[in-house]
Amino acid sequence: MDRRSLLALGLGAGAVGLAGRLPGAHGQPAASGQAAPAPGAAQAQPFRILMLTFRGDTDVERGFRDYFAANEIKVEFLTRDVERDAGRVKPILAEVLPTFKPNLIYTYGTPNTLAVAGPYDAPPDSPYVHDIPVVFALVAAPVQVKIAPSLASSGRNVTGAVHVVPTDVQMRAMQSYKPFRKVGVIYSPNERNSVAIIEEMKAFGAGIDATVIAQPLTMVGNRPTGDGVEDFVRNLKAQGADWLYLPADTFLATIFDRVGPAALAAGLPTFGATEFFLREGLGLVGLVSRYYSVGQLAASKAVEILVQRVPPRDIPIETLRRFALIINMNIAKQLGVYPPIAMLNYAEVIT
Amino acid sequence: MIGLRGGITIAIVLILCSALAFIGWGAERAAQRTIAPEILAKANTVARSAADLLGRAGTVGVPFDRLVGVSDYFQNLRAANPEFAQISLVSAAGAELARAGDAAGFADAPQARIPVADPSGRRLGDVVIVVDPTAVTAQVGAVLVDVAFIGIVSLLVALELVALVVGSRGIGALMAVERRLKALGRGVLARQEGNPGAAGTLVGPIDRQVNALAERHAEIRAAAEARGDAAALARLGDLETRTGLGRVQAAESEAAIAVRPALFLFMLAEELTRPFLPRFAQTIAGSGAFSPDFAASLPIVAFMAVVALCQVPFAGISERLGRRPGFVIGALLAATGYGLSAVSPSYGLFVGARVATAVGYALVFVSSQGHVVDFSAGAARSAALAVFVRAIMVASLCGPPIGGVIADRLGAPSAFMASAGLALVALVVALLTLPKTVRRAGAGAGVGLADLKGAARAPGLMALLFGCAFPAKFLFAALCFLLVPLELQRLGYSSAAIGRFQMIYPIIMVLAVPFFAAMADRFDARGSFVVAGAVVSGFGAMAMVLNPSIAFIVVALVALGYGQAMSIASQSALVADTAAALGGGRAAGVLGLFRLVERSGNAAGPASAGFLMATIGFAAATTLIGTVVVAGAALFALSGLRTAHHPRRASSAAASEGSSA
Amino acid sequence: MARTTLGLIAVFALIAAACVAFGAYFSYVTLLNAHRSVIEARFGIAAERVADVAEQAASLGIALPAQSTLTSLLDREARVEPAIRSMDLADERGIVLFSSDPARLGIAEAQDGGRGLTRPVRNDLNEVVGHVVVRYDPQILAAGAAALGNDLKVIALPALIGAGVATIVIGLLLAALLRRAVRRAADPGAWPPAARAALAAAERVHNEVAGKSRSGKSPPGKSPSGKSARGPAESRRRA
Repeated sequence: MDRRSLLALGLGAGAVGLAGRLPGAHGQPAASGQAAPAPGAAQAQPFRILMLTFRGDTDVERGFRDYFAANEIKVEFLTRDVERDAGRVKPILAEVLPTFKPNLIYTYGTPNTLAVAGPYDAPPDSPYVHDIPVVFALVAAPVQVKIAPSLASSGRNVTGAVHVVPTDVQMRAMQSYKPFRKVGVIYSPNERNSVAIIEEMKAFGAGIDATVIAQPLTMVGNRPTGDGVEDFVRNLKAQGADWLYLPADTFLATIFDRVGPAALAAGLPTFGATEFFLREGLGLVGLVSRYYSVGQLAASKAVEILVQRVPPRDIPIETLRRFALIINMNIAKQLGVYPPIAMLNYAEVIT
Repeated sequence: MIGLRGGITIAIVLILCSALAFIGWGAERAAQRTIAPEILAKANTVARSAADLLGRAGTVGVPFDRLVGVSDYFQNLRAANPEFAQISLVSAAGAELARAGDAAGFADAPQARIPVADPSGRRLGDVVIVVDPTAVTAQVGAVLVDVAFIGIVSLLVALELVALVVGSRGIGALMAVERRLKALGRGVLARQEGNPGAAGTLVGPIDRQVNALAERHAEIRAAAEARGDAAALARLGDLETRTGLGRVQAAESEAAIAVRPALFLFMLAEELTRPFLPRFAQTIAGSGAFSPDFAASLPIVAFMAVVALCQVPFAGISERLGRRPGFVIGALLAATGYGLSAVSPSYGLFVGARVATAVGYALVFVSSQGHVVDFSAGAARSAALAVFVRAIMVASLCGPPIGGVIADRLGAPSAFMASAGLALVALVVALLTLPKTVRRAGAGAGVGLADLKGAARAPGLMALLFGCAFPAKFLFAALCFLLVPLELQRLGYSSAAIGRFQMIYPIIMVLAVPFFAAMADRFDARGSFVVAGAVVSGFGAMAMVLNPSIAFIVVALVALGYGQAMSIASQSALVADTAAALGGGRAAGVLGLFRLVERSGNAAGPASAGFLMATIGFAAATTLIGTVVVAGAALFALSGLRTAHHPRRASSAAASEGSSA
Repeated sequence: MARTTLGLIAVFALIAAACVAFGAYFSYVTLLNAHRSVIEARFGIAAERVADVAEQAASLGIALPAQSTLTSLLDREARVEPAIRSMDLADERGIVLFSSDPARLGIAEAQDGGRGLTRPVRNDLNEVVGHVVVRYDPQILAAGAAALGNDLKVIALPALIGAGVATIVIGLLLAALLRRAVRRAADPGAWPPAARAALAAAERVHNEVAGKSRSGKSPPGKSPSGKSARGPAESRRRA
């Protein structure tokens, strides 16, 4: 009857990011007041953190900085924005590193992170940062893009916070909203991340005796297009899908304005993995990570590195333990598919 | 007829149950007056919170007649608040829109009713919660069942203690009277051995009748023998078997059983730990390097292994030390172990404390057994050993439920402290009751390694030991000490309840061993009884594969009880036959080997069970161990049931079954 | 013998009484726990609601100390239950940030030693960032305990005495029966059926084997001396 029910959804998720750590272990230090590391006197010099943002300050950075403030850790931040061009990372580093001498580099998103730390299998002499710890935030699939060989350990001076909600947690949230036997999903077949999600959906479906109808987007060469996506939606409905699930698919995100209305017209409830779809794409419901909390999670890892002196390779890459359920009540009304009453205890309702 | 002790036991059970029922009724009334209003207040709060939520649904735009999942929501509320019989949503027009639970049985039950309003304040309907007035008293009922168990169990304990409190003279008189009356009641006209003591004036008339009859019988028999009248002798012989004429019924040997109260208390101390030990071990191990199942089994295995290994060397040590010092040192060591277990901050220390307890336990056990053997001989020895065994059995019957209740109400460390206390009391009792100097009667009982080696070559013995004796103890220890407690704990049973389940096995053993021993003698089929027993207990465990539910756990425990009861006395008799056939010093070696193998089974059982439970789960582990037992029995059966035909009686061998734990 | 019997009966009566006392005490403790859990559950619901609001705000990035609207929420919730003395929101170190009782702002809630019911407030990292603390009037617990204690005392004392007395009475009755059985056993004519049958069988065989034809049911052997002869007469008189 509260947000704990969502936590319960998350805990059973076998959330890949938790590998190698005990559930709850993360929460313990703060709970016992020990994470708040010796404030004031014990820390003579403030830590220096270089923050590389991608599109200016977001809630992620706010959460990141607030975490240090809440734990009374003195930090000197230097923020540089790459203005959506990861190519600017190199010159910024060249300019800042010798003078600012950061203890840690924070990177926003996959392009920035790769520009700073490179892929894990890059040769040792490649021109990336090796000797300064890197903490990333908002990288959806660090394993697929080769930031780390596994979520348990990057094997190098890198760790961070993932913002995707584990697929099975999303499936369970979808099931608690409205139980299903068939779920349709539209994806870009060229995106490895999306293909992996489809596999996870199928595995979950097998466990509850539900079918996944996976509909790839039309490809032109090796690029997906939106051709016929409205027909795909209608087809899925005709095949008896109870839900249309929209994964965190980069190309799909560009045609939400076509998918959402088509689903609404077909009377097919939609579940989205991104907040954007709920707010702009006429989606019905979604389970998302709060950007502010993702920033806090990244900061907690920075604290482990700076204060507790844990090497980044020993800190697993994790996602949040709790997520936000967002329901678009206008769509619910139009579809006539209302959320179960208990969900209103923890959902954020858009009216 | 029912003896004084039996009669008063039944009477007290009845009195206790009625008194506790009366208290239960009083508790119900008290709950109605004091707690019911509080529950209603809580129902109001919950109803208000639910009405708020339903109102919020209206605010965000869910039409009141299109609410989804209200019944499920109510169901969850009921799960969290079992004292609510029914939660429902009623529309303003009075129609029931959603409901969880059913209050049909509670006509006048108190209820909370809170209106649900739409954003403009219009009343759409009501949330109604009906309180279940019996919910609280059900909790009290469960407690009273616990208390009734404690009552009955403490009665049994008291019966044991009576032997101590009243002293051998006083209780001996009463026993002398009851023994004679019981014999008459069964139509037994045998002479009663033993000094009636203070009861002389009471039993004198009876004894005179019986003695006169016996003398006349002896005369007639002598006359018939003198005549060489075979037919008459046969008739007289038949009469002797039917009525016990000419026999002398042995009295309980008092010097030998002086150790009984002390031993009983000491055994009780260890039995207290049964229901909560696995769970406690897991807790103390925390999320350390061990898997939970391994963490639970290690202390048990260490304990059993130490007891098994110390058995043979301690026989000599206790002889050199003397029985009394042996008992006292052992009890002290064990008490220290219990105390350490209670306060031990780390898992390693805890296991160490259990090992210390095990060393003490082995020393006490060996010394007590030695004392009985020292002070008795011949038929009186098996009678004395039978008394000794009964004390251990009663302890294993009473210990687990008491320990469970203590652990539930006061915590496992307190229960360990209770064990330490009991061990110390046993120590004091031993100091008071055991004689200072040791008169050694009978041949030396020291068994060396060479004796064991010699014994191992006895024909057919190895098949019996490894086909039946070892698997039987293996299954017993695995099931009773580890698998069942852990599984019941997983199913959510309290330590007290686990303790009650652990009583099943000893109860059946106490009741059924004499019966099956007599049957085995009557049909002269000890080998078959050994095999049949193993098959029964093995299949009981294998049944777990069908459905690992509480019903099948009970089936497994009952089958184990009956199976062991069928085979255990016959096993001992067969081993004793082998020993007797070898004769001389090698006989002791055979018995020593038998005990060693049995106790190794005790140690190996929990060890393997812990490993199996961690790897393949409870049901599969139990089934597998059951299969091993059946396979062992098959091996023994195939080896030809080579039983040396000796007139050794299983029923007398039953008396020496003292080492079941 | 008589002393032994009386001693035994006394021991049993004590056990019975002790068990009843035990039962009454455990019942009392159980009722007490039920009482407390009902009351605390009620206050817990209010605490839970505040914690939910605080968690949702925290997840949106509003730090706990900045959630100033909580004061009015705490006020509202505390007013609903008159038995609630105060309702606080404390940070993870236990310093009260907001309270329905303005005097409590800034103090460490753990230090006032009062009976408090807490619910944690967690962020999306599952870290505890604060607690909702409800302090309620201990009087309602004490009053309940007293009422329950009185009610049970009224029941337990008669039950205890009754159980003890009943045990003594039955014990004496059994002892009397035992005495009677002993007296009857002195006379073979009054023996239990099984013993009489065995005796008859023995006599039949003896008589046949001995080839003698003694008449009637005279006691066997050469010892029909005084006592056993008196036995039947005695038992007949008593019957």
